[in-house]
Amino acid sequence: MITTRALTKVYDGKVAVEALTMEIRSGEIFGLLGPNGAGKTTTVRMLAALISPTSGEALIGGYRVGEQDAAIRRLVGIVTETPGLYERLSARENLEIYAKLYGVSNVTRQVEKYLRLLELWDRRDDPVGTFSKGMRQKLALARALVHEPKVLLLDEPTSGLDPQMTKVVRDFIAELKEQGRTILLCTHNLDEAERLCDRILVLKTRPIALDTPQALRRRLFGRRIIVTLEAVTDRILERVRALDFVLDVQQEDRRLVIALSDPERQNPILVRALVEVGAAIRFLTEEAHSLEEIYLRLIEEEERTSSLPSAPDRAEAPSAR
Amino acid sequence: MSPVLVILQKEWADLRRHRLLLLSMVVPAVVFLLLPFALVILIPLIDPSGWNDRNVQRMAELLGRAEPDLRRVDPLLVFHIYIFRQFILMFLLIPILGALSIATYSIVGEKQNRTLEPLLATPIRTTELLWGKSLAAALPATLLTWITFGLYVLLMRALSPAGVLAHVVNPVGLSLIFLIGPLVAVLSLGLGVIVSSRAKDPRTAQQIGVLLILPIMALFIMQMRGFFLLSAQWVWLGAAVLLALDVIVLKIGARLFQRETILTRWT
Ligand SMILES: Nc1ncnc2c1ncn2[C@@H]1O[C@H](COP(=O)(O)OP(=O)(O)O)[C@@H](O)[C@H]1O
Ligand SMILES: [Mg+2]
Repeated sequence: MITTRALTKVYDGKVAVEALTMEIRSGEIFGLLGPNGAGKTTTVRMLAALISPTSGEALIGGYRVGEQDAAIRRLVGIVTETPGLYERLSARENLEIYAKLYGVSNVTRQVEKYLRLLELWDRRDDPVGTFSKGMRQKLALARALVHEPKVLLLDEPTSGLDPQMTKVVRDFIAELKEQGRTILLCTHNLDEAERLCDRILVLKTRPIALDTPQALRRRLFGRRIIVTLEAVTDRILERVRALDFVLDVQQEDRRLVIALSDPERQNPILVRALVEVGAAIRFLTEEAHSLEEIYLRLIEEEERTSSLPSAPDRAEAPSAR
Repeated sequence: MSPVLVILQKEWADLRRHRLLLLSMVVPAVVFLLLPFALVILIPLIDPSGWNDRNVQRMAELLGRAEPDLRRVDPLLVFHIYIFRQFILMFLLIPILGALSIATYSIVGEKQNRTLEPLLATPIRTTELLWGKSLAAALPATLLTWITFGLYVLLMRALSPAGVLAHVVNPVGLSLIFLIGPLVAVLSLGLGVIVSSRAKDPRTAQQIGVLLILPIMALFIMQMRGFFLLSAQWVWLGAAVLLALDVIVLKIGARLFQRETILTRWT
């Protein structure tokens, strides 16, 4: 649905987004994850045909950014970083303006539909200036949807919301996916990316990694299992080390952290070996990494490689495919 | 519905609820409307002989030369005509201030509330947005000027000695209001658009108004001192110059009104 090739944006000599190549499939929630200043908003603006790429190209639903902008704007709905609502106008008036600008055929019906859906109907005639942050964000979502766009660009839609409202907005985004819309979700919140996204692209000016949340984990840490024993003896340690498929063993008190290449096949063998040398196994679990660790590691790695004086291995840094 | 009309509608819905802005337009209009009546009534009362000073005499002379039928009329009538004509010039401040206030509030206000990004994400053309905003500023400002002038005419008819009206509502007066008025409104809003792209708050942007107010005040004072009398030829020449300036200023405004420029350069 969205394809970019070597998409790059430079502002007055400052590179904001560099060589972004990605393919967002129809109907998926695609996360753009990165710290502040990573280029998320810049990317969204290019995809919404608001600013033009310095180089590279982007296609939305087959329309090329910079050439078929009017068609792109009709296809895309956007929730900008700040809601940007007309404060003196009512919720209904705010939506009506947009419905008309998007050329919606039945303005009244569409406006009512989304005001009801986002539970703003009771406050429809109140000036937006009196709305809470959460209500404003909901209205911004309604506004992005009023012309029934197939593609949604959401720029940090839950930032600054309280936990309850965050949940409401996230649940709503999940519902939008059910309706078959393609969603690009920008966030610096890892938890959010993990919960909502089918795939995540970690961005820090350049794309750093692109995969499913689960695969990202595996790729960076390999897979490790944790075996908790009643007691760890030298004999047990030796026996484990002797297994040829074990990549690494570390002892942490009564626990063994064992790196394996294929735990599904290797765990039974490992357990049998442990039992043979008299180990009493209390628990066996797979080590879980939060996306946060992965993310921080990616960012660190990126900083290390890009801060090298002459970065000859820049191209070797993990890149999106 | 045309996007220009949608913007126009939106701007007016917003303006209607912006009491302070409306008041800041209406109050000067009311003052300019009532002040000349106060002057022609109060000055002769306060200073029964002094009002007929050198300025008034020089003006009477100028008026007499331009319009021979005024040569032998009562000096007090000339005084009335003189004051009422002077204030037509003041009326030009209404479209200038009005258009400037609306344009700067609407543009700087959208900048402050960050409403431009979602707006520009719609299929609207930036020229349509500029047209909508321009009309939203120029029409009410011009309309207010015309209404004020209409009331002025009614009040003169009711309160002034016979003969005053005909010498005030003449080609010069009418072209000032109906030709120069809209032209300065457009110039003012155009300048407002340009400075609003840079300014952080509307009041700063409105300082550009001095550029337009000063020449009007200069004309006002020069005519008051009897240096010259604004003739129809001068007014039309002025209109031609203003028209050219309007085109230039709107062209500059249109160049600033590009999606990318608005989003990345209008800080
Ligand atoms: N209008 C602009 N002019 C110059 N630099 C900009 C502009 N907008 C963004 N940038 C720079 O581009 C980089 C990416 O910004 P942005 O896309 O806003 O990141 P994010 O949304 O991920 O926080 C930042 O370093 C920012 O300072
Ligand atoms: Mg951002």
